[in-house]
Amino acid sequence: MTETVDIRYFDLGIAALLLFASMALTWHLQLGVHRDLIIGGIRSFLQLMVMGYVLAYIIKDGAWYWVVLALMLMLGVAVHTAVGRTREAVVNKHTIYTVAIVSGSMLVLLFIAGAVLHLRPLYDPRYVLPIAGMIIGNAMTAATLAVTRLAGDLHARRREVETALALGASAAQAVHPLRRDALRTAILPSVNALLVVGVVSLPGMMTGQIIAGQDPTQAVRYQIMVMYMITAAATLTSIISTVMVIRLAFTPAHQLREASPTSTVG
Amino acid sequence: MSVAEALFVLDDVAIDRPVLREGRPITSRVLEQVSLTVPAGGRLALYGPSGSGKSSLLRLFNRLDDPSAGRVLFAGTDLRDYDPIILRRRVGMLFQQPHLFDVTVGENLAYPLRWQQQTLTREDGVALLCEVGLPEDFYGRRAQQLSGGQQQRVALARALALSPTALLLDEPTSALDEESAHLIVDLLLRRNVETGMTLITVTHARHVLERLNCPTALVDAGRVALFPDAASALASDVRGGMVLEES
Repeated sequence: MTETVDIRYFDLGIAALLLFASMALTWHLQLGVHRDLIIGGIRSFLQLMVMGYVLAYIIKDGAWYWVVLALMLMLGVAVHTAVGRTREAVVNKHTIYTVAIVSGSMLVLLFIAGAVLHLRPLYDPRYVLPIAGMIIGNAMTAATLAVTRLAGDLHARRREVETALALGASAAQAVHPLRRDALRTAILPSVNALLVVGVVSLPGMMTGQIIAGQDPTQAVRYQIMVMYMITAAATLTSIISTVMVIRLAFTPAHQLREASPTSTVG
Repeated sequence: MSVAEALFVLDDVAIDRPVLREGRPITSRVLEQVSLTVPAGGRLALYGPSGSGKSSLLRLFNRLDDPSAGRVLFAGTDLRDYDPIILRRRVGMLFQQPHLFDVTVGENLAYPLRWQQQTLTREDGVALLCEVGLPEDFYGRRAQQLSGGQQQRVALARALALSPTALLLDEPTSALDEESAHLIVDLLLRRNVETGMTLITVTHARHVLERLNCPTALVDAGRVALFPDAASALASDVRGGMVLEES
């Protein structure tokens, strides 16, 4: 393995100048995001520093319970973030996101760890944790896109759905165009990424491995696996979440439930 | 009239609706103690000011909603024991603002049949268009590019494609000029007389009510009062507002 360039804290400070420059520009243009940039800059620094030390410890210790704990924490934060990003009135959104993100991402993780990487032990933290991070992050984004789009459409396109119901369509038939649009919204970013990767974008995992001295031809194999697994995670998670949203949006008598009170009295 | 000849019976029905009071969701009773009978092949108008609950009442007949209390019978069967999909194929509905799917007029007409794995021939589609007063060349046109009045007629033709036993109409003519409105009402009356299709029509338009000239349920202030015809219903409607007596 070739020698890598170590980044000192001083060097990180220099890198932070880029963030300060972005802050100054957005402040000058009155975009109203400089506060978020400050918070984001500090949070990303702290979160990643902590993550670095935590990962170092878990990899060194190698115990299964640390891996499980870390996965639960990552999943918890993902669910919490997804719930927070969903402004639409969605019944039981906490349950929907929990079931969809946990089942969707863990199935893909298990498949990758067992069938692709043949990890021994299966929970080998050096592989499982970074890969789980990528899977869960993409599952969270896809689930949020699918749920917000579908919930928004169930409200905005209520007339369309009820027209179909009134013409004798089942709930599944009536909601089909909305579900299709929601799933496309959720899955298209992954599909687009598949199309441009290696031409327009050189993704983080691969560039990281190359900088760390890994043979680029091996690094791209990892990246191909990553692309496939995050596409699968996005697809699986968004399908599970839309199935749940639809189940909760309709009654067994194929009636579209009222999401929230619309009129005011008193 | 006995329950046996009745197509629909509303038996002591109440409707609650979730509303916000001081920002908090609560349940408010919109209508109560509603008992109505609609004979097979008959007509009924639901007349009253906007917000009185007429449309909510109409949605019970094809079970887009369930009553909060009481029961609804269709051909003697409690709607809760009736397959809602089969019910809605027998009891059509035309909304105030029709929604046409973003495909051709012909495909719109075929949609309800497609959901039952059936097809609509072009001949049948054109015949439906003819019945609602639209020329044959509309068949291949994109539905969403039509005018409001044309869209309402296509929506009506689409509802008729299933040859429903009854048709529910929610302010079917409110978006139309008076001439188009009369054309639609006359067409509905013809269907009613010729094929015995039961009509239940929500309206707050006096001219529509007069043209329908049928038993009229006045819906106002949480109650429903039944009058034998449009004239007597309108006569009770003093000062332009409505004064209802307990029925």
